[in-house]
Amino acid sequence: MSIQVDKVSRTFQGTLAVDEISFEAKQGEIVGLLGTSGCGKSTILRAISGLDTEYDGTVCIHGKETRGTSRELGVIFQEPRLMPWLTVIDNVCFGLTGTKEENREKAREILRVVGLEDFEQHYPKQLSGGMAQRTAIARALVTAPSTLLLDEPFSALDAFTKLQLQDMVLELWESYKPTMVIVTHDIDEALYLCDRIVILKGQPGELHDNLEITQPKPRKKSDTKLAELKEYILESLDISRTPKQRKEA
Amino acid sequence: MAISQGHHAEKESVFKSVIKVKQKERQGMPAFLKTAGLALLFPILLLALWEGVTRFGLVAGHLLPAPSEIVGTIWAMGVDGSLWGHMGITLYRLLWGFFWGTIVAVVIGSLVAMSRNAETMFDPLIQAFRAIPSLAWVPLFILWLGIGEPSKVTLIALGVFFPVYLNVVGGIHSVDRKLIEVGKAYGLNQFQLVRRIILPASLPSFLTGLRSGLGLGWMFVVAAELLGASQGLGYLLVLGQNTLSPNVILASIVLFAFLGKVTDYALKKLQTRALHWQDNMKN
Repeated sequence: MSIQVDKVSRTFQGTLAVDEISFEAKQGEIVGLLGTSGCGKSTILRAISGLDTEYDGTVCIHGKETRGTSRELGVIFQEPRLMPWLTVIDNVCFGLTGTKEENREKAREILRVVGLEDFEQHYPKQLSGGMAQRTAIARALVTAPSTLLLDEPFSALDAFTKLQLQDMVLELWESYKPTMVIVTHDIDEALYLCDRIVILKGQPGELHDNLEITQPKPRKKSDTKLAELKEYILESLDISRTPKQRKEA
Repeated sequence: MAISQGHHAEKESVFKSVIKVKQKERQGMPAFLKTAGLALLFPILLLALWEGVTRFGLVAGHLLPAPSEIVGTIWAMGVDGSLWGHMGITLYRLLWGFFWGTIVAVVIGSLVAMSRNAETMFDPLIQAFRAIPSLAWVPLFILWLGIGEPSKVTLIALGVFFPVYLNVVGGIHSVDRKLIEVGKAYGLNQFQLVRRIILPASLPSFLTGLRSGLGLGWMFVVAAELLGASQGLGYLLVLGQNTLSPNVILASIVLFAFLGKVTDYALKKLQTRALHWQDNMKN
């Protein structure tokens, strides 16, 4: 499903947080929302997900304007947000509506994909951070949503788990090509996963750039073209220099 | 040489730790008995001392009867059957009051916690009522409901109501907004949000409320029975005072302690079973 974000602005208690952001995610595209902290990436994602409805502008999903949550959208948050009183498998079944047996079968299948088939009866308190996030990913995927929204999904994880889960997400994307919007502040992550990178900048956040990345996936981290792009993004975000130096210049 | 010495030392330490583990295994059962023994040591000493001072006439026996005499009193009441009647009626009053107090607290508490309008309407009034010492209601209850069971059960229910109410409201208010958002992202309606997220998430606070409610329930059952009853453990207190028999008073106190502990233990078991998923110090 495609997503069109058109001139979305959001004001919190009189302060403008994001200013007229527009971009599009085509069907099956992975779009990264990249920017420094506080520029309103997550605000935009919350507007798309429908968890926040107090924004100005419009969000169209598959050409139809929507304001509010939809079962077509799967959301993966920065923290796993698992229900602590449910086991791993019941957490994965949380969003399913079918019969118990059907749901469990589906959940088991997806738990195998994320490598947690031996932990289905565990409670969240018994899981490591990476395992909990994998459970959360499984919970979002089990309903096979046509669009996945990911809000800094790997930012709380260690470097190794992060790489592992990035590959896992890519594999899952390969399997049925959902449209994905992923919020991140990690340039390498954006370059590794995304077909398009929307760069936000400033406070209030404004659209700074919209880059299309044509390299086929899976990509090599050492790709020279990607390294050049990284350099370009760093320069355009103006974070290679300290604010003081910027003032002097 | 130095290497071989180091190796030897390492081997020895491994050997020692194996022995330690084996010793621990062997001590497994006595360790449990040791804890039980340690916990019982002080109460038993105290009882022995009490028995001793009354037996040897160091305190006036007609004011402080020996523990054996108290056990004898309970035993005699058990044999003539009156014990079961007293315990039964007290438990009945407590549980019935506890039931109604809890039901009303859950209904009003959920309403107040879920709706801002309900909170504005009811909460200030409930808080004002809470400020009134509940025993102050007794004369009014007796006037309105008579001296029979209804006034006693109402008084106990009133005592149970406040701690349960406060914990239901507090529990629902403290449910993690982030979990509710997960439910909303899956398109759950208000009723489903309550059933699938808010209720289980506020369960720990609710169970804490139940336990403190039960504690207050026991307090109020004594108050209710002191004020006019012809049967019950509280009535035994009055009877003991009027017939100058401290052994009956102490027997009643011991029975209150026993029943209070048993009912609290049952709730505690329920709490541990229902909340085994909690990630806290105890689990």
